[in-house]
Amino acid sequence: MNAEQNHIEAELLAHLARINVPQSRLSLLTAGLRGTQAGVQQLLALDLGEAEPAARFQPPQP
Amino acid sequence: VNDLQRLSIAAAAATIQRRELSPVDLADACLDRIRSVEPRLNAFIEVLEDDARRDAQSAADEIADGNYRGPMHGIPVAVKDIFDVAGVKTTAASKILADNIATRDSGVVTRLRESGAVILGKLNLHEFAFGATGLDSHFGPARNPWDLTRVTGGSSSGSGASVAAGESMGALGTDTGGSIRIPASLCGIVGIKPTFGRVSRRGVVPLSWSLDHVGPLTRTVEDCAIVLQAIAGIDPNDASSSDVPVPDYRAGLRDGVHGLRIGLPDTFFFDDIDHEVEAAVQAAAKTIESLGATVETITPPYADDLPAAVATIMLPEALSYHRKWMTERPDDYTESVRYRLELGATFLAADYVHSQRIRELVVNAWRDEVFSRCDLLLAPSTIIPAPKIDESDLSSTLALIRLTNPINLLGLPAISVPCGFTASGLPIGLQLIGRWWDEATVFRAAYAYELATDWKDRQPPI
Repeated sequence: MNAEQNHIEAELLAHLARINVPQSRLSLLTAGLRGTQAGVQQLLALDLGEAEPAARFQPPQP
Repeated sequence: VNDLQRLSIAAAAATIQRRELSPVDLADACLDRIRSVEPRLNAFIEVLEDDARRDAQSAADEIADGNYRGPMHGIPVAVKDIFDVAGVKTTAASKILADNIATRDSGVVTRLRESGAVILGKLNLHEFAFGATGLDSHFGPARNPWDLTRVTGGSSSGSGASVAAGESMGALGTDTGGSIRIPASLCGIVGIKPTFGRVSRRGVVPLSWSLDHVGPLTRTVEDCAIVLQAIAGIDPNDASSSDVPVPDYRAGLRDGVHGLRIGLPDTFFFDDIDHEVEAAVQAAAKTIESLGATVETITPPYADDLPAAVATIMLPEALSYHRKWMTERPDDYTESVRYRLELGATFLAADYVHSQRIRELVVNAWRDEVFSRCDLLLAPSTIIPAPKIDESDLSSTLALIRLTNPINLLGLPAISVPCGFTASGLPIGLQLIGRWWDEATVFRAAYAYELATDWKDRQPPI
């Protein structure tokens, strides 16, 4: 993904998250996006098998 | 009343129980110390002087009447300004919550009051507990008592500084990625992150519900056990707290390490490490081995993947909590915390769920591959000692959290205990990581090590 695509993606993600990230901050967020996506990419390589999400939801006691 | 505040909690408690020391004198000693060093340290956001004196007098009266409650009765402690104390501001070191007055005590403050502890005040922290240096606070940073030009570590920055400097005999902190163990390590004191769910989080400003833990910071291992004993256990008003029985942590404290199997990681935990830190931690492993434990090399599974999984859970959860303020008042955050919250938007829901699945996978792998072979894992708490305030940057933060935040994903109990000093006099922390719910063995090994060394006897120059 090139720098311009990253910039557009960062802007879109901030928009979808409904937080206000001014243009002056978008280059910083774009750089951050590259870092977080590298982490996500690393994690996608793992074989999760049958693992379900860790969760602590417990229905109320009867 | 000079230096009474330097007593350990255990020693002070024994003296109070014998009615040879008044909780009023002890509280006064701490308040005097606070007045003396606070202008340089900035560990407190608010000192509750009148309340502390009143509570100390109540404790003294109760004890005089023969109603001694236990080892926390009359002991002056302070709490990170993220725990609600009824009638007092909970600011989380932020501008956002600068006028936020709590209407009721948090679960752990309730427990502390029931134990008879005296609350001295509210301690500084990294804004909203979202940082490892302690530098970004609406009230200015706390400073490291060992070197005022250096960071305390965070986010429980005031907790580390206050206890190390002798302002309070113990403190409460929170730990989402290392925020108890990092300041404990950098300030030369003891801090434990107990098992996830061991301590109530009711009335605590959250950072990340999946990773937040509450725990104590003290000057000795025994004191840490005493404070954790007072706050551990199920809180019916906190669904995240567990009903797993809480053992008597002091009962086995003196049992030694003979027969314990200690795992020494051969990957990740010693990568990119400061050579003085590595030498001190390897020497600590030798010391523990010489005390009768078996030390063997172990390869913790998935270690390299854990920091990314933590980030993928922590950042979106933090943004979720802060979303309304991030929409309405983004300029009221410090720059670094605002940026971290913005980063929370860069993950998809599928990424978040993926990491929650990884958590399940990794917990099972560590149970089967690590804790089937050893009772404790031994590692550094941080890979570097306290960095200079004016040289701290993102790389310092990443270095500080590297060895602590994986343990938050696992929810394991982990203690930081002093294991040496650099040539320039900065503390180094040893991390001992135990099985889920087995804080007792963590304390037992940490106590044996502490007893075999004299690191805890050194005092910061402030």
